[in-house]
Amino acid sequence: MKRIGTMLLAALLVWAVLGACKPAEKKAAAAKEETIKIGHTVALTGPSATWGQSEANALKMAIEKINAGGGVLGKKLEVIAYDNRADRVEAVNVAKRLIEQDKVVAIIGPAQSGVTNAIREVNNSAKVPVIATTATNPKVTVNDDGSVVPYTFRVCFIDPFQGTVAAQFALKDLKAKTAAVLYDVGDDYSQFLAKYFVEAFTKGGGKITANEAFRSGELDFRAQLGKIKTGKPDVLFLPTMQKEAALAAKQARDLGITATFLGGDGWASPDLIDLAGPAMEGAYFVNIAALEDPAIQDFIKEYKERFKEDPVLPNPLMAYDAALWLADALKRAGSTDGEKLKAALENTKDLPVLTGKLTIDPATHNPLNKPATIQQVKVKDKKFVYVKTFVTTD
Amino acid sequence: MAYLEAILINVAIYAIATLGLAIFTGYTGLFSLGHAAFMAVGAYTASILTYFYKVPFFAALALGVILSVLVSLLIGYPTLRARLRSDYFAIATLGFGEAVKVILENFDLTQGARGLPGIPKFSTLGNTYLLLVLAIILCRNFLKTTYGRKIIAIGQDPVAAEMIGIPLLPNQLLSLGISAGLAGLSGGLLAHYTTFIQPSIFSMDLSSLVTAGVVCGGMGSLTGPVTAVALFVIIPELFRGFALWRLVFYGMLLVIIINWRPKGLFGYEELNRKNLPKLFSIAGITGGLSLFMPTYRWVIESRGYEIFALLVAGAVAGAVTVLFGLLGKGLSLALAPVAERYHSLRGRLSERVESTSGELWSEGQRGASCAVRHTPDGLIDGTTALYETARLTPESSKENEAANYTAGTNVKTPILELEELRKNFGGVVAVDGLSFKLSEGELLGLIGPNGSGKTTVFNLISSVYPVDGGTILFRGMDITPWGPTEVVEAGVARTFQNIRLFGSMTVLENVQAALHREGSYSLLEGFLQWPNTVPKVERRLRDESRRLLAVVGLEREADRRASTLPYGLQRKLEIARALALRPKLLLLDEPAAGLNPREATELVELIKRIHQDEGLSIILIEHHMDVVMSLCPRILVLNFGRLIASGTPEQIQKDPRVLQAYLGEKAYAVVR
Amino acid sequence: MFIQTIITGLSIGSVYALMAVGYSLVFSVLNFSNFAHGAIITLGAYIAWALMVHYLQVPFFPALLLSMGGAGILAFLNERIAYSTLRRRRAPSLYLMISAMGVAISLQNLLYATIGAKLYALPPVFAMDVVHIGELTISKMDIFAFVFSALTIAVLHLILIRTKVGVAIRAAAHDMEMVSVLGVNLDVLVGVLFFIAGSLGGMAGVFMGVKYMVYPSMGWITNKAYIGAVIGGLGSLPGAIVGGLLLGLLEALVSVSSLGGTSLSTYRDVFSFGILVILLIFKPTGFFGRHVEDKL
Repeated sequence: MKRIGTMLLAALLVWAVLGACKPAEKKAAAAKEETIKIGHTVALTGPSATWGQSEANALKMAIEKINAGGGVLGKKLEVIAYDNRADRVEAVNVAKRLIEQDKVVAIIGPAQSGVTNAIREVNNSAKVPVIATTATNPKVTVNDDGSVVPYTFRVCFIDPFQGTVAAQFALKDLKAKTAAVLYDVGDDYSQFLAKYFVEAFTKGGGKITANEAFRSGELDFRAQLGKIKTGKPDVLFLPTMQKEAALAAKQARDLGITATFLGGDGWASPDLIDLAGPAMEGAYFVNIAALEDPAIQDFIKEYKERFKEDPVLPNPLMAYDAALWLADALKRAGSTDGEKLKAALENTKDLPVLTGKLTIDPATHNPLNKPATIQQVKVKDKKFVYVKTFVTTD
Repeated sequence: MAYLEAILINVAIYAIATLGLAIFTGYTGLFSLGHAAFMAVGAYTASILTYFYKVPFFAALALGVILSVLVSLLIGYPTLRARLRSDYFAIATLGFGEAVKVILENFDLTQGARGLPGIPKFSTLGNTYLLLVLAIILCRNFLKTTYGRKIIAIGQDPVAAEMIGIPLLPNQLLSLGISAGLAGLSGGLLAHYTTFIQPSIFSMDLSSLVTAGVVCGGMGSLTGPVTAVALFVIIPELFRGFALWRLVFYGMLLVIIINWRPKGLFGYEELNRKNLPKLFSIAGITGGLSLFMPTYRWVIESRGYEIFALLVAGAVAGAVTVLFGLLGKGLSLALAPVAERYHSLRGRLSERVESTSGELWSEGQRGASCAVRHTPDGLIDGTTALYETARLTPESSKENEAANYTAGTNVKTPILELEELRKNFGGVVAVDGLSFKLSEGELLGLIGPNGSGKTTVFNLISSVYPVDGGTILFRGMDITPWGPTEVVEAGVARTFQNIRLFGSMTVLENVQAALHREGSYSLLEGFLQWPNTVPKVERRLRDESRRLLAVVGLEREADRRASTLPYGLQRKLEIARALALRPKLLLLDEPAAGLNPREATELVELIKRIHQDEGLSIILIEHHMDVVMSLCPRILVLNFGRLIASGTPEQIQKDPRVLQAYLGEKAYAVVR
Repeated sequence: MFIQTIITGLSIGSVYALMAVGYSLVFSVLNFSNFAHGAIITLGAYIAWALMVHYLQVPFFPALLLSMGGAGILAFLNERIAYSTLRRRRAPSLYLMISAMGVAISLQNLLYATIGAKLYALPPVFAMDVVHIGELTISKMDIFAFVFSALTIAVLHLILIRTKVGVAIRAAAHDMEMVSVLGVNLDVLVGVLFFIAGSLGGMAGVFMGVKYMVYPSMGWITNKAYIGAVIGGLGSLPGAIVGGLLLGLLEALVSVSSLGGTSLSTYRDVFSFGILVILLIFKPTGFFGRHVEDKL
């Protein structure tokens, strides 16, 4: 026992020393004055980190601006951010920590629908509002029976809209008559976006030749793609995150599928180009915002100056808007009380935010009149190029 | 405070699952790498019931447990029946674990891979710890019953277990069921604590955590795994930025422990006065480490020098560790006299309880205790007592079958008859048309050069291998197709060439294990250690075992761990264990191997005694010629699986074929 | 479509086969399932990434060879640290397997904790080049991988048959003790064995990295390769190849099938693991494996 015990002890002590080095920064953050704490649950590591880091940066910018303008209710805002790795279980832990230990008055994020669903019970039972940044699945804020989830909000559009946009773009602009779909059965976002696309595409007169699924974490879709190939679709809709989309595109081209690729906002990370290579040349996807949008140029300039790179849209914009919305709601509520804050959030009309004017539908906690942009992937130029804008009316 | 509560609840939940796996892997010796699947079944069942159907919490948990047990039996039956070698079995469990996960992902009711959010938070500090304590009590009770001993025996040596009549499949299934049930309970509690579950939680990582807990805690202990899992949960929390490193930690720990200390933290021991200091040291190290961080930060904030802070924090941690260690040792010493008094008090109390409750102990048994006499060489001449003991359990059916064959009526009727027995191993013919008869009460010697098939004959009789040809008749019954446990029940017991004891059990428990057919109380009574039945039966089994140990002269070693016995005594223990099976035929396989001349003489005396006093029929395989020649009136000689000579010792010694077989042709020619 | 599915299946299967060979090689001599093989494969891919993308710009072929060598060395070290003590002590194969698991868990999470979970792509080799045969397409990368793997295995075969080391390995597969009695230094032999197995693994890792991407949990796919090795019979090299290819084929066929209207593609892993369990129960020696019994 002695030898092993000493070995283990030594190992653990080394670990302790390593661990000691990290939290040194935390102590400096101990502000002396009272602040209003806002939680940020975001994917700082993992495949969604490109968006998450950008989101965190933008939120920092937004909060600093608000504080520079005098803060809210006479106090400064303080952001407490934790990494949820876009993992549902981790997000639940993070939410609990934010609410129970750090005592935040509201939480900005998560960015994924599945993750937001996962923490629903936690924040709703604690009456702490959550403003999801890019969670687009309708179930996030509205239950199956039509009732609204009391303390969950979002600042982006929803998938039925996104699916419709994609379908109509395919039908009208790409002149597609047939389409095939390959989606991730383990992801709320992917599964439902596929469903809405299929509905809208069929309603618009198109024909779905194949609707295939794969299991989360899969890498090889060639069996399903082989099946898709036989239907010779004009368009292949890939409502997945960038990693699976890239792989699917590569493999589809390998198999000789010539369809145009189409996707949703899950593609919008720059590493899509790195991962997919030439396979993705000329593909289209729907997004919440585009870099070329004139309304946000100031923001982009500021972001670039500070962080020396382009923001990875749309998350940073959404987080910024969420911060503005939250600050405004706090002012109107006059307190940090959960119920009052919820009511204020629900009753937001024509609030000027970066992406236009924000009006919330109290029955669904969703923003009204949210636009969507279509972007095209240009591999050779290593960028996404803005194509056009769609606007929703319901 | 909520944070501390979270850690404690997690510890309790994982500890329950680890307890379950400890019973299966630690005690029964079968590695399960897919145990998270049972947690998943329990979690999903309980959650679906409370969430969709508003079933009350404990009922939902119970149903989760039941379903886990059923699933485990479903999976376990084909897998265990196949008698896979241990690593294949482990991999099969891994396969099951993954398959269950995929099925859950595709199941609509469980909402597939997206998971089930919004589970009501019913698990509290109170009820999780209540259930943990309950689980510990039940497990400890279980292990002290005949059911528990059977499982431990299987874990120690499945072949030997079968040879003392313990059927593998039902007992392994029992062990699996218990462990799956506990895992299911743990899963249900977990779901109602995290309020969100999805199939990917129940991954190989979770199975590894629990497995690592058992391995590192000590296979063969309950305290060990619980402590290990507690450490696994607590320590990474102390260095919280390092959630990812937690798994690196487990992995490394697994490698370190399995390589250099496979016994783990507690080995085969439970928490007792002697290893109390160990537990305190562990607590001390944990406490020290948990104080390290806050101390470090406090020093930094007030003084600011990193190195200084490190030193101070290290000193504090070290001081706490040492303090706890000393506390543990001190407590252990202080408790020594208390422990003594407690044990003697308990002993006297139980005696009084039993004598006043008027159970039915037969006169014969009481009489036998008085009939014990001491002979000069220390062997207690109580062997007569053996068969005078009134059996409190009905005789087994196999023995009833043999009732047609009445003992002692015709001395010449063979008790064992082998006809044209044949056995091949691939191309090697081990036994080649062997035939002989053994009369009742005979002491027969079986000799032959190495590889002549002697042990194979024993293995065929006790049904370790199936026979390739020929028949075996025992007391008139054709036992050729019978399985090992049936053969034991019919009255055949054997010992092994390379001793097969249950090393981690005590000497007494080894014999007790063989008495498993004589203790009858139900499993439920066992779990609860039902005061009316269990202690009585256990006491009787213990006394029986002591008596048997006295026969072979081992009564003073009763509480020693069997693996610590010197070689010669181990052989005696094997004989005592074989006698516990109340055999009519005893097969002794090289009992004198490795004994020095004095021990060999003792052994001869012992065998003579057993043979004469009981009228046991005995076949003795031996290489020690003096042992065989002095004991056996008749000797059979085997070579290349065939009988080459049979007769008295004098005849055998002079038989040219025998000499040729042993010395080889050329040498024989020289000798002649 | 059917033939294309077959080709897809063979393509996936050849990756499985390559990984399975590494497994079987170790199993044939040491009689245990080396679960750390997956980690070595992953590290092979990461070495290639480090060489080709992150630190240097080494071209594909040299990077492949260097990765193979690097993986081989890592496998050798793995054996030294985690297995040699147990081996010398003649510990039961179960202990070796647990040690392997420990290594696998540590290494995989070490990658997560240090480099992070980000995905990396290896520069496309043969990029999008495909070969068209009528309606069918086969990617050039697949052809290269197939040919190169076949060549390597052929070389391995030659090594085993012609060289002294090979003979020693095959003898050790039958009887380790005897081999050491005959004067072979077991430590060196086992070391060489692991180096070879590790190199094969590294190669598989690089091919996987090019075909798909490089990320820490790549090792998980080796569970499938393991199933392939069991199908073919643990301990048999031709078995590993057959088993791996067969599994790939079966998986591809399942992925495109439906049962009563529901697509089976997401149940594919139930199918694969189900086969594993059934095989272990009914025919653990697979197609070509050996049956080993202990003397009682």
